[in-house]
Amino acid sequence: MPKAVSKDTAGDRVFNSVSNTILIVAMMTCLFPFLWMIMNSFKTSQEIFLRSLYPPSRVSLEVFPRAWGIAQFSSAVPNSVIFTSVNVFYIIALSSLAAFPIARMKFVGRSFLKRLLIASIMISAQILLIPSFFQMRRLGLINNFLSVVFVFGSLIIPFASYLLISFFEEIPIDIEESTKMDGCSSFRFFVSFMLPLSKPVLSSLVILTSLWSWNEYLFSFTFLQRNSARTIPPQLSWFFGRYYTDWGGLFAALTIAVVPLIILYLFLQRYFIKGLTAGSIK
Amino acid sequence: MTIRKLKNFSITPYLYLFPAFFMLSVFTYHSIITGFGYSFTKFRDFVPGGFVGFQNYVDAFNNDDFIRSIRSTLIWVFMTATIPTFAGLLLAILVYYQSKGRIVSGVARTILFMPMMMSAVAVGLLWSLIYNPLLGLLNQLLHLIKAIPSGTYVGFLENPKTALYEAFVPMVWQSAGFSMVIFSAALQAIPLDIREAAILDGASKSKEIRYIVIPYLTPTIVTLITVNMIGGFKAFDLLKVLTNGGPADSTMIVSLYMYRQAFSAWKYGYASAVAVILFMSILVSVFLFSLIAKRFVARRSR
Repeated sequence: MPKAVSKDTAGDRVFNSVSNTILIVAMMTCLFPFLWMIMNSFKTSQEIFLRSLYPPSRVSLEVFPRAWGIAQFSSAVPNSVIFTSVNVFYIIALSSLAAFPIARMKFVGRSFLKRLLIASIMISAQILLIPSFFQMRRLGLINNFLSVVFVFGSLIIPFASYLLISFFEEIPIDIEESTKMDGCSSFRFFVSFMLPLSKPVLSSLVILTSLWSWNEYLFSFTFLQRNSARTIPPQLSWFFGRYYTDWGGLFAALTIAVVPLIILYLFLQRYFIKGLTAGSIK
Repeated sequence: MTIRKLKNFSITPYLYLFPAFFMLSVFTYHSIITGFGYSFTKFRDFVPGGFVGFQNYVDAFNNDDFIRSIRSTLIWVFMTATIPTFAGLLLAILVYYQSKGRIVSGVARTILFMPMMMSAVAVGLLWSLIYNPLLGLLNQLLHLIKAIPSGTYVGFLENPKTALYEAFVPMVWQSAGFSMVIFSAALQAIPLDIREAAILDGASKSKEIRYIVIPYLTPTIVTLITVNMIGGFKAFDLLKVLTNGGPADSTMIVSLYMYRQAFSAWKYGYASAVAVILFMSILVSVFLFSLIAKRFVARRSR
């Protein structure tokens, strides 16, 4: 570590104490809203109103089932789970299928399709919103989560393919040739060699696309209009708009929506950080 | 076997490509073309209208609300491109130079990255509670330190002059940790011998940061500014739930304005034109910024 070569000068001590202060303030600022939210979800509305800054005088758990009921999480949570799983599978299956020939095969139109895919990363959700809404009405997919998979999921395919192409290109050609000699078809090679060898990039992609899907709002808010069809984010915003005076309920609903993911993150931190930063380091 | 070998053309690659490109064509490329098409029509109230040429675009640029939303968007994009990026840079450098490096950087990373797990919707809703005048965290804190007399409160997100900046705070809160983690990774890649040489030559920390660390990080800074800039243009979720454009349309960025024109005013043709303008401005600004960045990076590395 750099510490070994540098001596502690007065300047260093000033630097250290200033830096410690800034870091501690930053961490407190990050952490405190979470603690405040969790703390208040154990209180009744009156107590929140009177003293939201202090720990609960009596831990009451009754707010949770009530909030779960009114916010209709009994449908929103399974909807989110189903949507996220299907969407992640859809993106990864289609992207890896498309990335494989672009990275490993020679064919007419290869460089054009590669360029088209990479350029498509720039497409933004907003420009698709209005035309997709009418397309989904025509297809009768309003209030069906598949509408969000088809539009939002497809929008991510170019980015996912791009990550996969650059990874697939790195896998040594010898493996492919030796499997070919053994009479292995290209699809067998893809499924039983290429995909297992790509575990690092696939796991990053699974994390990234899961989080994006779980948190998706724009399309689900627009396409899923019935309460029973909604995923967690639009359902949560609906609940906040409707029951804005039910303080206890709001805190509890937010805690229900946020805390499970935080717990998951604390256990799988390394993977989350790796996955989320996968796209932006060149 | 020999026949297959002789044949140069194979259908196999296209079979792999088909599902992705079929779905992209139907749900992405087709929709973009449709969207462009709508923007030239008088489509409103669910009644597809006739061709009106560039009328919607002319209307947009003659509309004060739209011009105001462009202004808010530009401020918002400038803030998202710079503030979380440089806050992350500062935090990463501080953690890097910590004397108890390993532990502090681990804890700091865990905590500062945590808000990234939340959806922008949850962040917006949480901050709507934090900003709440009656029970909100901020007003209660201000009461606690006696900054404001009891019985009064600071109306966050109520003043059109400052609402956009107040609405931006949750954005920094959520995303500074992301930039920090990326900068930390880039810092680990600086060769130690270069830094050691600088220290042996008696370079102070500030000089070391200025002449070694920052030049090394310039490409990462450029990447993060670009990523955050694009994110700024696309911002929707946070402001939708936190302010919904208010007060007095002061936080009505273009994406919210488009949404309102489409799904509240049912002016689909007009809203499509706004969407096209938004899309084009993302492309143009990314292009312009990459031109500037290229020259900047080239000059730095010389």
